[in-house]
Amino acid sequence: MTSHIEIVGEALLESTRQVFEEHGVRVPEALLCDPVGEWVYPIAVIGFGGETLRGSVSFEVPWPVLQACHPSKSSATADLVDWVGELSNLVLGKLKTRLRAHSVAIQLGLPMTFTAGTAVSALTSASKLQYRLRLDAGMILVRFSAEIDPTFVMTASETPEVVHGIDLF
Amino acid sequence: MGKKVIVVDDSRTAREQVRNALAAESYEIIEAVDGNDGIAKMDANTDAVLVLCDVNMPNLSGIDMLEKVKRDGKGANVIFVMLTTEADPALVRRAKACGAKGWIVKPFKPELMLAAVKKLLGDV
Repeated sequence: MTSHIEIVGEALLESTRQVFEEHGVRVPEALLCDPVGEWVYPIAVIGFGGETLRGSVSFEVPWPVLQACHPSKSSATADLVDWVGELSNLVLGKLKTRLRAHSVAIQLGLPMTFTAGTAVSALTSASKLQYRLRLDAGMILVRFSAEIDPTFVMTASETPEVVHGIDLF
Repeated sequence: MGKKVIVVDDSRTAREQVRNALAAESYEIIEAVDGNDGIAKMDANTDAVLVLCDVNMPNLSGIDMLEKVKRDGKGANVIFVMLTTEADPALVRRAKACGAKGWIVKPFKPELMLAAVKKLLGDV
């Protein structure tokens, strides 16, 4: 039986895959992996919270991957650090939509970005699941940590109402 | 210079994407980094005709900015369009209730963004 945290993890994985592919970077493989040590690349950490689920996600994305999917292919450090934050924002937006299909409502925090490893290790030390995503341009690491209300029963709801694309009123 | 458009987003990449998307037309782009800065830029550019505004931002969110602007009676003729990763209909309804004229979910196709802006500004 799939646990709630695994369902959220799968939704996160699919959201991540979708965002990178929308920006021209294929994701041929995504694997659950063992915890790894220090961060080497730029990282974005973003929190989320709701009545039944709260936690955080971090994304470690190598410089070449960030440059490959950056909208203007910038190689400037400041641009790429900003971009990893925006990517995490895009992923969490899609995660929020996917979770609504399981009757889970969350609010999103703001991304924090880092380029040094020490501070982030402390932030992510309680990670429950880690995924490595192999992309054409390199490997990225997604760490996911969450608490789920033990009394909550996740149910598949009918397709939730969602806004797509551009909606003018 | 063309019509003034204020882009409010805490991500410089997102602001650059909007600037590039609207570059085909001669819109003058003014950038703001959060809701408070957005209001300041509106005060300093009273001839702005459109605000493209992110939702989740530090200090003052996009919807809080929109509500504050309307509550304070500012920008009566300024068109607000939200530009965000959020696709939650409850947030859309809240923005619509405050007078927003559009909701764009990121990532967006530049040509569609430009077409939407031109339509809203009567430039088609």
